[in-house]
Amino acid sequence: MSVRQKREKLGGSNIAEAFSRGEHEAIEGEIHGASQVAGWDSNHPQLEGNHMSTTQRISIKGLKIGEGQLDLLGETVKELVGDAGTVTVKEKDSEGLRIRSQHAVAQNARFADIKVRFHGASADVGIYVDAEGQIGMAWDGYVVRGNTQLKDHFEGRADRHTFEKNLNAMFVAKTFEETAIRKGFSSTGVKRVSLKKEKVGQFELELNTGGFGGFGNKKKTNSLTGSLGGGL
Amino acid sequence: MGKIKVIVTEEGQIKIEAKEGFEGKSCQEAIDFILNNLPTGFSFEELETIRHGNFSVVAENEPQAYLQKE
Repeated sequence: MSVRQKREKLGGSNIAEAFSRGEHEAIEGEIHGASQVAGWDSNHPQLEGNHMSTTQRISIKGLKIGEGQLDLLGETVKELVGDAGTVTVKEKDSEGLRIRSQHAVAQNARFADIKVRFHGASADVGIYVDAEGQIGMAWDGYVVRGNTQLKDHFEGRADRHTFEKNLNAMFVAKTFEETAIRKGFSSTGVKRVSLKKEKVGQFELELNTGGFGGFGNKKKTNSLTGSLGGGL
Repeated sequence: MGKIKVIVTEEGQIKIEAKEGFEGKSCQEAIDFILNNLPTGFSFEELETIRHGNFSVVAENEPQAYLQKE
Protein backbone atom coordinates (compact mmCIF):
# COMPACT_ATOMS: atom_id res chain seq x y z
CA MET A 1 0.00 0.00 0.00
CA SER A 2 1.43 3.38 -1.01
CA VAL A 3 1.76 6.27 1.41
CA ARG A 4 -1.03 8.04 -0.45
CA GLN A 5 -3.33 5.05 -0.15
CA LYS A 6 -2.42 4.76 3.52
CA ARG A 7 -3.29 8.39 4.11
CA GLU A 8 -6.56 8.00 2.31
CA LYS A 9 -7.36 4.93 4.34
CA LEU A 10 -6.53 6.58 7.65
CA GLY A 11 -7.95 10.00 6.99
CA GLY A 12 -10.57 9.29 4.38
CA SER A 13 -13.96 7.73 4.35
CA ASN A 14 -12.79 4.33 5.63
CA ILE A 15 -12.72 5.58 9.21
CA ALA A 16 -16.25 6.91 8.88
CA GLU A 17 -17.28 3.59 7.41
CA ALA A 18 -15.65 1.76 10.29
CA PHE A 19 -17.56 3.89 12.77
CA SER A 20 -20.80 3.16 10.98
CA ARG A 21 -20.05 -0.55 11.08
CA GLY A 22 -19.56 -0.26 14.81
CA GLU A 23 -16.00 -1.52 14.66
CA HIS A 24 -14.56 1.41 16.52
CA GLU A 25 -13.93 0.73 20.18
CA ALA A 26 -10.97 2.97 20.76
CA ILE A 27 -10.94 5.07 23.87
CA GLU A 28 -12.14 8.53 23.01
CA GLY A 29 -9.65 11.01 24.34
CA GLU A 30 -9.43 14.73 24.08
CA ILE A 31 -6.17 15.80 22.60
CA HIS A 32 -4.80 19.13 23.78
CA GLY A 33 -2.28 19.98 21.14
CA ALA A 34 0.04 17.99 18.96
CA SER A 35 2.51 17.23 21.74
CA GLN A 36 0.22 14.54 23.13
CA VAL A 37 -0.30 12.94 19.76
CA ALA A 38 2.52 10.51 19.85
CA GLY A 39 1.74 8.70 16.65
CA TRP A 40 4.05 6.03 15.32
CA ASP A 41 3.82 7.16 11.74
CA SER A 42 5.04 10.58 10.73
CA ASN A 43 2.60 10.46 7.84
CA HIS A 44 -0.28 9.97 10.20
CA PRO A 45 -2.92 12.55 9.28
CA GLN A 46 -3.97 15.11 11.87
CA LEU A 47 -7.73 14.98 12.12
CA GLU A 48 -9.47 18.27 12.68
CA GLY A 49 -11.54 19.15 15.74
CA ASN A 50 -11.01 18.97 19.47
CA HIS A 51 -11.84 15.29 19.75
CA MET A 52 -10.13 12.53 17.94
CA SER A 53 -9.56 8.87 18.44
CA THR A 54 -6.61 7.97 20.55
CA THR A 55 -5.27 4.64 21.67
CA GLN A 56 -4.59 5.08 25.35
CA ARG A 57 -3.58 2.83 28.17
CA ILE A 58 -5.96 2.13 31.00
CA SER A 59 -5.42 0.09 34.12
CA ILE A 60 -6.74 -3.35 34.81
CA LYS A 61 -8.30 -2.57 38.16
CA GLY A 62 -7.02 -4.42 41.11
CA LEU A 63 -4.20 -6.28 39.43
CA LYS A 64 -0.63 -5.49 40.33
CA ILE A 65 2.29 -7.67 39.51
CA GLY A 66 5.05 -8.31 41.97
CA GLU A 67 8.78 -7.91 41.68
CA GLY A 68 10.29 -10.02 38.94
CA GLN A 69 6.94 -11.10 37.54
CA LEU A 70 7.23 -9.61 34.05
CA ASP A 71 8.38 -12.94 32.63
CA LEU A 72 5.39 -14.68 34.19
CA LEU A 73 3.09 -12.01 32.78
CA GLY A 74 4.63 -12.53 29.34
CA GLU A 75 4.19 -16.28 29.64
CA THR A 76 0.57 -15.75 30.70
CA VAL A 77 -0.17 -13.48 27.75
CA LYS A 78 1.45 -15.93 25.31
CA GLU A 79 -0.61 -18.78 26.68
CA LEU A 80 -3.81 -16.78 26.65
CA VAL A 81 -3.33 -15.49 23.11
CA GLY A 82 -2.30 -18.91 21.85
CA ASP A 83 -2.88 -19.30 18.11
CA ALA A 84 -4.83 -16.06 17.90
CA GLY A 85 -1.77 -13.87 17.46
CA THR A 86 1.87 -13.13 18.16
CA VAL A 87 3.21 -11.97 21.51
CA THR A 88 6.50 -10.12 22.01
CA VAL A 89 7.97 -9.36 25.43
CA LYS A 90 10.50 -6.57 25.73
CA GLU A 91 14.10 -7.26 26.61
CA LYS A 92 15.06 -6.45 30.17
CA ASP A 93 16.15 -2.83 30.62
CA SER A 94 15.03 -1.88 27.14
CA GLU A 95 12.85 1.13 26.47
CA GLY A 96 9.98 -1.05 25.39
CA LEU A 97 8.20 -2.11 22.24
CA ARG A 98 6.76 0.59 20.01
CA ILE A 99 3.14 -0.19 19.27
CA ARG A 100 1.29 0.52 16.06
CA SER A 101 -2.28 1.68 15.99
CA GLN A 102 -4.79 2.85 13.45
CA HIS A 103 -5.26 5.85 15.70
CA ALA A 104 -2.86 8.24 17.34
CA VAL A 105 -1.11 6.67 20.29
CA ALA A 106 -1.12 8.52 23.61
CA GLN A 107 2.33 9.45 24.79
CA ASN A 108 2.24 7.16 27.80
CA ALA A 109 1.29 4.23 25.60
CA ARG A 110 3.95 4.46 22.91
CA PHE A 111 6.27 1.84 24.34
CA ALA A 112 4.81 -1.33 25.74
CA ASP A 113 6.34 -4.01 27.94
CA ILE A 114 4.44 -6.65 26.02
CA LYS A 115 3.03 -6.32 22.52
CA VAL A 116 0.33 -8.47 20.98
CA ARG A 117 -0.55 -8.57 17.31
CA PHE A 118 -3.69 -10.59 16.71
CA HIS A 119 -3.90 -12.33 13.35
CA GLY A 120 -5.73 -10.29 10.77
CA ALA A 121 -5.26 -7.05 12.73
CA SER A 122 -3.25 -4.08 11.55
CA ALA A 123 -2.73 -2.67 15.03
CA ASP A 124 -1.13 -3.85 18.25
CA VAL A 125 -2.30 -4.32 21.79
CA GLY A 126 0.12 -2.82 24.27
CA ILE A 127 0.49 -4.16 27.79
CA TYR A 128 2.27 -1.97 30.32
CA VAL A 129 3.57 -2.34 33.84
CA ASP A 130 4.14 0.87 35.75
CA ALA A 131 6.63 1.43 38.56
CA GLU A 132 4.13 0.26 41.18
CA GLY A 133 3.36 -2.92 39.26
CA GLN A 134 -0.04 -1.78 38.01
CA ILE A 135 -0.89 -3.42 34.70
CA GLY A 136 -2.39 -1.32 31.93
CA MET A 137 -3.45 -2.08 28.40
CA ALA A 138 -3.95 0.01 25.27
CA TRP A 139 -5.69 -1.02 22.12
CA ASP A 140 -8.40 -0.15 19.70
CA GLY A 141 -11.25 -2.43 18.84
CA TYR A 142 -9.97 -3.33 15.42
CA VAL A 143 -7.44 -5.73 16.83
CA VAL A 144 -9.78 -8.36 18.24
CA ARG A 145 -13.12 -8.02 16.55
CA GLY A 146 -13.72 -10.92 14.23
CA ASN A 147 -10.79 -12.96 15.47
CA THR A 148 -12.14 -16.49 15.16
CA GLN A 149 -9.47 -18.06 17.37
CA LEU A 150 -10.40 -15.77 20.24
CA LYS A 151 -14.08 -16.42 19.70
CA ASP A 152 -13.50 -20.15 19.80
CA HIS A 153 -11.44 -19.81 22.94
CA PHE A 154 -13.68 -17.37 24.82
CA GLU A 155 -17.12 -18.92 24.28
CA GLY A 156 -17.97 -16.75 21.29
CA ARG A 157 -16.59 -13.52 22.76
CA ALA A 158 -13.74 -11.50 21.29
CA ASP A 159 -14.02 -8.14 23.02
CA ARG A 160 -11.29 -6.47 25.01
CA HIS A 161 -13.10 -6.74 28.35
CA THR A 162 -13.22 -10.51 28.02
CA PHE A 163 -9.54 -10.61 27.20
CA GLU A 164 -8.66 -8.38 30.18
CA LYS A 165 -10.74 -10.40 32.61
CA ASN A 166 -9.18 -13.62 31.41
CA LEU A 167 -5.69 -12.17 31.59
CA ASN A 168 -6.37 -11.00 35.13
CA ALA A 169 -7.73 -14.36 36.25
CA MET A 170 -5.06 -16.42 34.52
CA PHE A 171 -2.27 -14.29 35.95
CA VAL A 172 -3.65 -14.68 39.47
CA ALA A 173 -3.87 -18.45 38.99
CA LYS A 174 -0.33 -18.61 37.64
CA THR A 175 0.94 -16.51 40.53
CA PHE A 176 -0.62 -18.95 42.99
CA GLU A 177 1.01 -21.81 41.13
CA GLU A 178 4.42 -20.18 40.92
CA THR A 179 4.33 -19.34 44.62
CA ALA A 180 3.30 -22.84 45.59
CA ILE A 181 6.00 -24.46 43.46
CA ARG A 182 8.63 -22.07 44.81
CA LYS A 183 7.66 -23.21 48.31
CA GLY A 184 7.91 -26.91 47.55
CA PHE A 185 4.45 -27.87 46.31
CA SER A 186 3.75 -29.50 42.97
CA SER A 187 1.08 -28.46 40.49
CA THR A 188 -1.04 -30.07 37.85
CA GLY A 189 -0.76 -26.88 35.80
CA VAL A 190 -3.19 -24.05 35.18
CA LYS A 191 -6.03 -25.02 32.89
CA ARG A 192 -8.81 -22.87 31.49
CA VAL A 193 -12.13 -24.63 31.90
CA SER A 194 -14.88 -23.40 29.63
CA LEU A 195 -18.35 -23.25 31.18
CA LYS A 196 -20.33 -23.48 27.95
CA LYS A 197 -23.71 -23.00 29.52
CA GLU A 198 -22.75 -19.81 31.34
CA LYS A 199 -20.56 -18.72 28.41
CA VAL A 200 -17.64 -17.91 30.69
CA GLY A 201 -14.41 -19.60 31.64
CA GLN A 202 -12.39 -20.14 34.79
CA PHE A 203 -8.84 -21.12 35.58
CA GLU A 204 -8.18 -24.16 37.69
CA LEU A 205 -5.12 -25.77 39.20
CA GLU A 206 -4.53 -28.44 41.75
CA LEU A 207 -1.65 -28.20 44.18
CA ASN A 208 -0.07 -31.06 46.04
CA THR A 209 1.61 -30.10 49.29
CA GLY A 210 3.87 -33.17 49.15
CA GLY A 211 5.67 -33.88 52.39
CA PHE A 212 6.06 -30.25 53.17
CA GLY A 213 4.89 -29.28 56.62
CA GLY A 214 6.50 -25.97 57.37
CA PHE A 215 3.34 -23.98 57.08
CA GLY A 216 4.02 -22.26 60.35
CA ASN A 217 7.02 -20.35 58.98
CA LYS A 218 4.97 -17.49 57.70
CA LYS A 219 6.56 -14.59 55.97
CA LYS A 220 4.29 -11.67 55.26
CA THR A 221 5.32 -10.40 51.84
CA ASN A 222 2.20 -9.00 50.29
CA SER A 223 -0.61 -6.60 50.98
CA LEU A 224 -3.41 -9.13 51.21
CA THR A 225 -6.00 -8.24 53.75
CA GLY A 226 -8.82 -10.15 55.33
CA SER A 227 -8.91 -13.15 57.55
CA LEU A 228 -8.78 -16.71 56.43
CA GLY A 229 -9.95 -17.89 59.78
CA GLY A 230 -13.28 -19.12 60.97
CA GLY A 231 -15.00 -22.40 61.30
CA LEU A 232 -12.17 -24.36 62.81
CA MET B 1 0.35 -34.73 51.90
CA GLY B 2 -2.66 -32.71 50.87
CA LYS B 3 -4.32 -31.53 47.72
CA ILE B 4 -5.64 -28.03 47.23
CA LYS B 5 -7.76 -26.98 44.27
CA VAL B 6 -7.65 -23.33 43.26
CA ILE B 7 -10.25 -21.82 40.92
CA VAL B 8 -10.07 -18.25 39.65
CA THR B 9 -13.11 -17.01 37.79
CA GLU B 10 -13.28 -14.30 35.14
CA GLU B 11 -14.95 -12.06 37.70
CA GLY B 12 -11.93 -12.24 39.95
CA GLN B 13 -13.34 -14.61 42.51
CA ILE B 14 -10.81 -17.03 43.90
CA LYS B 15 -12.06 -20.31 45.30
CA ILE B 16 -9.70 -22.48 47.25
CA GLU B 17 -10.79 -25.95 48.07
CA ALA B 18 -8.94 -28.36 50.31
CA LYS B 19 -9.49 -31.63 48.47
CA GLU B 20 -7.91 -34.28 50.63
CA GLY B 21 -5.19 -35.22 53.05
CA PHE B 22 -5.50 -32.49 55.65
CA GLU B 23 -5.72 -32.95 59.37
CA GLY B 24 -6.84 -30.39 61.89
CA LYS B 25 -5.89 -26.89 60.91
CA SER B 26 -3.35 -27.96 58.32
CA CYS B 27 -5.56 -27.02 55.36
CA GLN B 28 -5.90 -23.50 56.61
CA GLU B 29 -2.19 -23.36 57.31
CA ALA B 30 -1.40 -24.57 53.78
CA ILE B 31 -3.58 -21.91 52.21
CA ASP B 32 -2.21 -19.27 54.56
CA PHE B 33 1.26 -20.36 53.64
CA ILE B 34 0.68 -19.77 49.93
CA LEU B 35 -1.09 -16.47 50.44
CA ASN B 36 1.61 -15.19 52.76
CA ASN B 37 4.34 -16.03 50.29
CA LEU B 38 2.91 -14.39 47.20
CA PRO B 39 5.45 -12.13 45.46
CA THR B 40 6.14 -8.77 47.03
CA GLY B 41 3.99 -6.17 45.33
CA PHE B 42 1.46 -8.63 43.98
CA SER B 43 -1.88 -7.71 45.47
CA PHE B 44 -5.59 -7.91 45.29
CA GLU B 45 -7.73 -5.04 46.38
CA GLU B 46 -9.24 -7.09 49.18
CA LEU B 47 -9.91 -10.67 50.05
CA GLU B 48 -12.99 -11.77 51.86
CA THR B 49 -13.42 -15.13 53.41
CA ILE B 50 -16.84 -16.42 52.52
CA ARG B 51 -16.41 -19.82 53.99
CA HIS B 52 -13.63 -21.78 55.49
CA GLY B 53 -13.82 -25.44 56.27
CA ASN B 54 -11.67 -28.15 57.69
CA PHE B 55 -11.38 -31.34 55.71
CA SER B 56 -9.45 -34.44 56.58
CA VAL B 57 -10.93 -36.90 54.13
CA VAL B 58 -11.69 -37.01 50.44
CA ALA B 59 -15.10 -35.47 50.09
CA GLU B 60 -17.15 -33.03 48.09
CA ASN B 61 -16.81 -29.93 50.18
CA GLU B 62 -17.98 -26.40 50.00
CA PRO B 63 -15.16 -24.40 48.46
CA GLN B 64 -13.63 -21.46 50.25
CA ALA B 65 -14.18 -18.36 48.19
CA TYR B 66 -11.98 -15.30 48.25
CA LEU B 67 -13.60 -12.35 46.58
CA GLN B 68 -11.43 -9.89 44.75
CA LYS B 69 -13.49 -6.78 45.33
CA GLU B 70 -13.94 -4.06 42.68
